[in-house]
Amino acid sequence: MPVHTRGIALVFQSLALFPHLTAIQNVEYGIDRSLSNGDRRQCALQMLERMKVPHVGDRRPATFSGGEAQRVALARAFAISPRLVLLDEPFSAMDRTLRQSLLADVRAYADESKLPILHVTHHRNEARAVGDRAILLDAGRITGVGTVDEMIRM
Amino acid sequence: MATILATAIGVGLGLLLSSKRLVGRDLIDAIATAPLVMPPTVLGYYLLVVLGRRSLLGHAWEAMTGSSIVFTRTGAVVAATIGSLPLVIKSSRAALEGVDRALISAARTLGASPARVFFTIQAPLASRGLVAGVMLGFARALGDFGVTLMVAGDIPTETQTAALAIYDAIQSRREAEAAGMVAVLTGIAVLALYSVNKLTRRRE
Repeated sequence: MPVHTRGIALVFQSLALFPHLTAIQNVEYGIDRSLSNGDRRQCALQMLERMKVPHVGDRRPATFSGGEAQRVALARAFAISPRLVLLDEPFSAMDRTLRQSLLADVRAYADESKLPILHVTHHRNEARAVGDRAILLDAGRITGVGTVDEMIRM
Repeated sequence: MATILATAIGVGLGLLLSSKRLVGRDLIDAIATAPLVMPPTVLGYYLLVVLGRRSLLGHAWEAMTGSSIVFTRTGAVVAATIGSLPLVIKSSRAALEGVDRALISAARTLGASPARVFFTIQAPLASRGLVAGVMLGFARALGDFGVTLMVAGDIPTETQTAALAIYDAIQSRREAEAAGMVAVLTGIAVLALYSVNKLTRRRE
């Protein structure tokens, strides 16, 4: 199945925001193109509001703070109404306070929209904040599957 | 016309060659950019063989249009296109390879087809390099001599390029006319290279 038809959104470690597009254009990029331009823009704005960064809408990624960039990347991933979201350590470079606030928002959005999220992390606290179930990997091999608390105790 | 053709074909090939998954891409690159280092007469010979009246392509073209490719304006366009193609391919490939692969992957996971990724992500981000390649190609096409002479001859107002016109003017002792054309071609070449330097430096 070609990548663009899978309906799986991915938030990269580098975030991979399109540097030549504004925040709104970044979030609009993946929204259903059968919608009118106005509707797509509206959806993008709502998602930026949901991620608490509506104020960066007309700015380009080079002007974002670290936290703003993370939130725009999440908004872009959530905006395509994916079947699954993969988070590839997108919060690894953030300080603890910022990370916790973002994780809480991600968890709230996932619960609200019943969206499955596969979150790759090296941080136990991150796994606890976002996850229900965890898969423990060691050198590329699965060494445990269970609840997050069970895996942390292993 | 040659610049338009070289842009369409050259950027397309540059995109293809920038894909790491393409098997034998170094060989394809070598073949596509060989005209850059080949003597013009050798390239002209190949084109005469491929496009001449007795060739399959030349025969088919003549059956369709009623005129041959060689020694016509079409031949001159083909000659200039082939001559400028390597410059467009090289610049396009380098510019497109410079686009962060993660951005392309991100666009694909957001549902964009390969064509949409090219037009909305790769081309805008590589635009400076692409424009630089087109400008070099244009300057090269404008000054083509050897290949055009072999494939299209030297027919004034029909297949005569600026470089051929200079040669004719010198041969018939019209030095002032030759000097004027030399000045124009030099100006265009310097302007093209200056712009290319500016464009690529700003990208860095």
